[in-house]
Amino acid sequence: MPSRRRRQVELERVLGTPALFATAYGNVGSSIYYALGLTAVFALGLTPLVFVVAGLIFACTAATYAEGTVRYPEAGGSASFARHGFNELVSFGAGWAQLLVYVVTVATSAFFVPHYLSVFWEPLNTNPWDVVGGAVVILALVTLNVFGVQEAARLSIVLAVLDFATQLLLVAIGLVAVFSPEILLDNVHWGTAPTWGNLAVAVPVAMLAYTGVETVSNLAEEVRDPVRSVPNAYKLVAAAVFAIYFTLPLVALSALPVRLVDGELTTTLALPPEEGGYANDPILGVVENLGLSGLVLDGMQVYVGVLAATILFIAVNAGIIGASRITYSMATYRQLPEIFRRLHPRFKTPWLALLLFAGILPIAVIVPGDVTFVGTLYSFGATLSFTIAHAALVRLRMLPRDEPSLFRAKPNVRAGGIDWPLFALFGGLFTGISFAVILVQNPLTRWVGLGWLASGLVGYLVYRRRVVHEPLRATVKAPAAFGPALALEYRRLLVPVLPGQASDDALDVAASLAAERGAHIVAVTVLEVPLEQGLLAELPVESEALAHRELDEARAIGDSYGVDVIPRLLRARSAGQAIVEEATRRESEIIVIGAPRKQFGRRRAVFGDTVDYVLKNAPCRVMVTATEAAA
Amino acid sequence: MNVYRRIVALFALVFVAIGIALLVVTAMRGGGVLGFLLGGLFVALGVGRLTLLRKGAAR
Repeated sequence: MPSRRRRQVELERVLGTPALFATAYGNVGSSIYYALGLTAVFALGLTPLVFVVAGLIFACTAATYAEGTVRYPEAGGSASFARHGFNELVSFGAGWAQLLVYVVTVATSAFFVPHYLSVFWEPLNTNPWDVVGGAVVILALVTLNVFGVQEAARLSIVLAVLDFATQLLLVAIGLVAVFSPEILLDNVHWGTAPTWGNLAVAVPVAMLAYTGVETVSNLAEEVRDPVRSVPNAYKLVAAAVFAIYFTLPLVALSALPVRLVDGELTTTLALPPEEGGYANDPILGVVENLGLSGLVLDGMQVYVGVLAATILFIAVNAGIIGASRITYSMATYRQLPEIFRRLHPRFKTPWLALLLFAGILPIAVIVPGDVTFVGTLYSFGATLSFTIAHAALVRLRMLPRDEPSLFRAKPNVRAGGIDWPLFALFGGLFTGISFAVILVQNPLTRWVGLGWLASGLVGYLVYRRRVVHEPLRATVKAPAAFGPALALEYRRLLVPVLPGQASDDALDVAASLAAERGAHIVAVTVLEVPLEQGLLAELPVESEALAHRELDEARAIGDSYGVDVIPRLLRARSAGQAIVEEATRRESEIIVIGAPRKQFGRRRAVFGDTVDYVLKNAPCRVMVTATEAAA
Repeated sequence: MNVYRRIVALFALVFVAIGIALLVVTAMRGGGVLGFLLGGLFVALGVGRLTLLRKGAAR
């Protein structure tokens, strides 16, 4: 039976490197549809150079997230790193800044959906119809999420690939048709267009193009082999980003050069539609100026318009899910009131968090209809969150660790017994400077951003002192179940899997428990690495293949019960210790473990070493199942 | 060759193609340091990544 089940799903190893990469690029790749115009407003002819500088900072940030996520594969990103590196107060600051980023991401992506749909009805490109259209998009998706719609992962992956291919096609056509090094050099007027002040603001604004770097971190809990998949996914995202973000601006500024308009040096890429510009739909502006004509141009405009609107629509949904996840995570750590964890009695979704942080606040952000404000507000939150992430990683490197590090991003320099992460030091320095620039240069963003931080900190202080009665820096976790979730007593089950009938039986028991309660199972298999080898050492191919087969089989068993099984491959010195650590980290409510009964010499032992260790050290209930033959 | 290495190889080839396109277009439009520099860098990046990939496979 298991082998038949295995055949059904052996090709479904979801959330390996390709799936992670595609999902992340689906998010990051969507931002070029608004970031190009927003950056050009400040950077003008230096837009391509600014994207390169922001891209290098992005590469450093991606390296920090890769290492941090491998260390702590849990949702939360910078907030999680800060919790482990510093304390709960810093973690709150990072989480609150990240929540602002999600609010603005939802707002920005939704605001630009109508702009790209203006290929069908032109008024959608201007106020007030773009504000109305954006609000409708947000309301529709929040409503769907409250009702409990699931993210269509496969559709997102297909669209991400289609998006990347289309962007490459635009680059190819642009390089052949309009690319001109001469125009690109003529576009630059140092100190005048752009001014030095605008150039300084342009770099943090260009980081808007890299929205979505947290995506991989947020999915880390569902990744099978995070030690390999997470860093590889980040490397691929960086490569894809370099291919598009370093070239498309070259094409755009060749097609839409800087020229004198009403006595001012500017590019139509930076002008609003009322003045004949393309700031609201920059990629459509590029398409219109590639030298295409007739049916080809019409077809390309409709295709790019629809694709961009679809990608942005999915990015809004990803932002909504991100906002609700981080809110839930913050409430779990008693950073936000428990009401934000409360599930709707019927739909079992965090309706209040969705309504407030993914609905009302994003709509409030787009109501003024000011794209520049939206862009700089994003930069405020993102640069603060990234700076904390870099600082936390440096701090984590300084702290003594009991276990060896599974993955270390590069480059590093060793001094004073510490491997100093140069990427985090460089990234932290520049995101910190970018944050300071945004604070100094944009009064409206400064006061709104600081107001957001101040209101959050005051709320945190009052909540911690008056309700939780715990110090601001202490990590405190909320009880596992409350409200309607109380009925779901075992929502997080963990099942260690090994070859043999005992594991299959344990999975059958766990799956029937999970099916009753609509829960999911984490199936864990551990590759025990001998002490004389590094934890990442190449193990015999057969042992890895066997582990993967066991995980496929676990998914198949879950599938036959209609239960989601999240497969997780771990490398460790001791299987028992790895299982206990995974259960602790995931806050598992029960471990269901199959027990192969063993006999050691004259002494008859009931269980093996691994089961004994789990029984003695597990942070939750343990259910031991035994095969009928052994019983 | 696993999926990750295939995608890396694909990206490296994309970089080489972009670089060659930049070099050819720049030459056809009368030259220019910027075009040749960018083209050269893209080709070097793509070839460098392919070389690393081959060395990694050999190990």
